[in-house]
Amino acid sequence: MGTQTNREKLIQFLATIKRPDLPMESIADSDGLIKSGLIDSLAMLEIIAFLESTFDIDFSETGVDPVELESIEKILDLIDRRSK
Amino acid sequence: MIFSNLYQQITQFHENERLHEWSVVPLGNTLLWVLVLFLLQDTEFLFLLPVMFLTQQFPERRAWIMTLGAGGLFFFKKLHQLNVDDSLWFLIDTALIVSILYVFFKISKSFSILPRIIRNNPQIFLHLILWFFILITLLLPENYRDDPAWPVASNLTVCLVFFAFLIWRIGFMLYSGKRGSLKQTGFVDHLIYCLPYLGASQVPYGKGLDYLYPKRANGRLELAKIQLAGLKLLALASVWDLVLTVLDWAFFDAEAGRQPLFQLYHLQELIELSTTQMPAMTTLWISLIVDMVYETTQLAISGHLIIGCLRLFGFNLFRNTYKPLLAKTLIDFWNRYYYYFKELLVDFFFFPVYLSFFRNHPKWRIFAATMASAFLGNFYYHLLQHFDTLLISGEMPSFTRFGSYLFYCFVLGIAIFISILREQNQRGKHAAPCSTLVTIRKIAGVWLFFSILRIWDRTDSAFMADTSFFFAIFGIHF
Repeated sequence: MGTQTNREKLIQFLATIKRPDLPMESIADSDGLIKSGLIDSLAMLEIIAFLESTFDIDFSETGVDPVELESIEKILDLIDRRSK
Repeated sequence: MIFSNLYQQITQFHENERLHEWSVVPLGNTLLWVLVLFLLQDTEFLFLLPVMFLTQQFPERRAWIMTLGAGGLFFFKKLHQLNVDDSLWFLIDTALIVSILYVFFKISKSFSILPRIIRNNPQIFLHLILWFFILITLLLPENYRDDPAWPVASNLTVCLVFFAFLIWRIGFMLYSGKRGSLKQTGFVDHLIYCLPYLGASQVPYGKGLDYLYPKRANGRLELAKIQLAGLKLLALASVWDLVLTVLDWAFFDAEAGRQPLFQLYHLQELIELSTTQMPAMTTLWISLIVDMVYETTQLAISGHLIIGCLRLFGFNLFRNTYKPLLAKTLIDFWNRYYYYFKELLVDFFFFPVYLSFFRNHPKWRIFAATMASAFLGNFYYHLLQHFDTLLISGEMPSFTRFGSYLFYCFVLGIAIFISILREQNQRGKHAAPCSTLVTIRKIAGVWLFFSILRIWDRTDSAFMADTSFFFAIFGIHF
């Protein structure tokens, strides 16, 4: 799967869990998702579930490093490294 | 509008770029440290001031300065608390504790070659080691800590108390090893969080190095900005301290010849009162609420001082307490009230369970993870914390002492689970903006819940006494 396709899937998913009053376009790929107010810290759980189901990433052995999920850029990097 | 802008400028002074530049020049920098001196003068953190100043002057030596200066002060204070006054034992104990940390640093650094069972369960391995040594202390004769014939056993127990105190920090070190992020770091880098500075508790403020290092200042201007943010927290701590003084004057302090404006009681005092001494129902309920606000303010003060100092050391960290009394949901309150404790529970209990069980059952998954953290993890943390105190006082931990706290953690776990589900249901939906009245109702609900739940939030009380007090606040006495 190409990075562009991954990005589209991720953006589509984030749009379903983000704060309704903030448009996706308001944040750059490198902006912190929680820091920018786009999502709250609980939404992190849903991002993990999304990455497990869509990209088959298994966090059970490695654990979660919240830094890896802090921005769109970092999540895409994680998908590139870890998706099966 | 003018006032709003002015308020914004004053409260957000640390974001002012001109101020960053000014605090770098000698005059501005001197003023910064004079203000820090003024704000820290009556606190135990005052001794850290020269160490903070040195890290500003030699940022490339930050880890060494913090370890030798602040770490040294930590040992001095903690060993003194544990009555280690003999200088030879002081040195031996310090060397042993640093050796324990070094052994775990080496283990973490060699994480990839550890046996698979340890690699898969590093935290369980760590805690099993601790409990193995705790069980060994049970074999020692009673009162051995005060017996001069047992100095070796007594000092080894001191090291064990330190090990228990530092265990969550060592846990973060193992996590770094698991993530492979230890390769670029030296042992001294890890001592900056493994040796918590004056006043810190078992909770690692600033977590581990993986969290701390990306947040350190790069460059003089960035340091100035972070230092000003630290100064702001110290100032806030002073303001809240003043608020406590006013609350004491108005409600709690009954000095000779003067009654408070309106007599209220702290929770501990209320629970100790007999049925006949109980104040009127209105006073009882107002006391419960005001005491919750009082305790939250106390926590904010201690957290602001610790994080303020860490910011002055050059680490741009989140506050420990961030406006919890404005939270509109239970989970939000929990997130804002004691951030680094919540993070500890999330890192060591929530995520491990969330990632390992019920992957195909979202609600069960969240339930298991929430109960593992807010209920079991929370209880286990306090059990370990009080093992420390009990061992110092020469007693053995008694599980019956924790009945009330066990109940507290259970109710908290269930409440947070329900709150998470409600939040998830709301996520992504366009909610109508809340009216002021609805917002106040939500905030009041959170205050009420935590004011009542706090009745059991104590690790030194009897479950029956606390429960009977709970009924007493509804006028039911037995």
